[in-house]
Amino acid sequence: MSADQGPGEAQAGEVVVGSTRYTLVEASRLSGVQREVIVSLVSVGVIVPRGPAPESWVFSDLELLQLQRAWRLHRDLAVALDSMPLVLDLLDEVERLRRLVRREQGGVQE
Amino acid sequence: MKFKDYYKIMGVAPDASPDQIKTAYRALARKLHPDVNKAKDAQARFSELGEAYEALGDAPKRASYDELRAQGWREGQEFHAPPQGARAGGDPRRGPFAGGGDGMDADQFSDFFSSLFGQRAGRGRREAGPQRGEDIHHRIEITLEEAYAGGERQLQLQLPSDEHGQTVRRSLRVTIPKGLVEGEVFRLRGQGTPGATPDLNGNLYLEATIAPHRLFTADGRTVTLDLPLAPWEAVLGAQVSVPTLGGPAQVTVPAGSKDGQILRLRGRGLPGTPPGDQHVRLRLTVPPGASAKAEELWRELAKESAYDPRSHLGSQP
Repeated sequence: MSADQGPGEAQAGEVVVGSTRYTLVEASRLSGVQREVIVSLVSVGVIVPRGPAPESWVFSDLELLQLQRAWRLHRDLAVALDSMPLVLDLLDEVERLRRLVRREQGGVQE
Repeated sequence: MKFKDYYKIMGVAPDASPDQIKTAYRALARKLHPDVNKAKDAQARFSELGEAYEALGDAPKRASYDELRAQGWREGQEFHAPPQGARAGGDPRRGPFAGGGDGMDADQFSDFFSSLFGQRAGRGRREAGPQRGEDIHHRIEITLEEAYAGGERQLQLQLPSDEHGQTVRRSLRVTIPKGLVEGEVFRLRGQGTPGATPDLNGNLYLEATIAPHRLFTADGRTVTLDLPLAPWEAVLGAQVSVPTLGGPAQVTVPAGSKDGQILRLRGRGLPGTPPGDQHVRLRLTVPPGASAKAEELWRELAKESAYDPRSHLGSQP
C-alpha cells in the first residue's frame, strides 16, 4: 500500500454507474455510513432506494456516493439531516452554474 | 519538520477564547469543506484546519502547544519533537462538532501533529465485522482529449495511513476510462485506505472535471465548437473542414446561414451510449480592413440589396 507503484502498472479506472445494486447492510459496510444514518437520510429523501422496506431496499453505486457526501456534510459541518436534501440540491445547483460559467469563460479565446 | 502556526491557520489570536476558536473553526470549515469548495487545495486546507482545531480546540493539547510557543517556537522553524513524556494527553479523537463522529475523511494530520500529540487513536468502529478501509475521494482535472480517448495518468496522492495517522504520499498510475464527462466519478477498486485484508481495502473515487480547451467546450457529451465564417460563406454556403476530437470533418455550411446557428455533427462528441454530438456554432465575422476595390464592391452590394436588418425595430426617427 505505501510502496510506490512503478510505471506500467496502471490501475484501471471504472466509471461509477447507477446500475449496481447493494442491500442496506452492504451499502452501510461499503460507504462507512451507519445503518441508522442511512435510514434517516432515506426518510428525509436524500436518496430514494428501490424497494418498500429497509430489508428490501437496493442502492446503486451513485447512491452510495450521495450517502457518503451527505454523511460528510452532517459530520463535518453539522448540517441537520432534515435540511440535507435542500443543502445537496443547492450545492448541485451552484456546481451546475459554476460549470456553465467556466464553460463560457473557457470558450472565449484570447 | 517545520513548526506550524495553528493560530494563523485558524485565523485567531493566540489569546482567543475556546468559543472564538470554535466559531472560527465552524466558519472556516463551512468555507473550505471539499464538498462545498471545489478549489484544488480545499482538501488540503480543510485537513490543515481540522488538525489546527484538533490541537487548539482541546484544552490539554492547546496548553502544550502554547508551551512550545512560549519557548519561542515560531512558524516555519525546523522543529524537533519533544521527548515522549512531554506529549500532551487530551481526548484522542473528538469530532469537530458535538457528538464526536469519527472525524474527517481526509485524516491527513501532519508529522508535526503526531510528534506533539502522539499517534492518533484508531477510529471508532462503525459496523461489526472485519475492518474495512476508508474510501478516498479526489478530484482530477482531465483534458477533453483524455475524456474522448481515455488515457493514463501518474497521480500523486496524499493518503492517510490507517491507524498511525501519518500521511502517506503515494504515486499511482491510473487508467482514465474513455468517455468521462464533467462531474462523472470513476473508481479504482482497493486503492483507498487498507482494510483488515486486501479485499477489504477502501476504494479511491476520482471525480473528473474537464479542463478548458482551446477550441471546444463540453456540456455532458455534447462538444461545441465556434466556427468563424466570412460573410460570403454564410450567404453563399461553403464546404469547410472542421476540427472534431476525432480528427477533422468536412461540413457543408448551407447558403443563407445565420450567426449563432448550430450545425450538428451526430456522434462526433464524447463517446458513450449513445455517443454525444458535436455542435458547430456559426460565427459571422467581418474581414479586417478592405481594399479600395473590395470597398467598392461592398457599396455596390449595399445598393443592390433591399435588406433591412432592423425592420423589426419599427420605423426609425
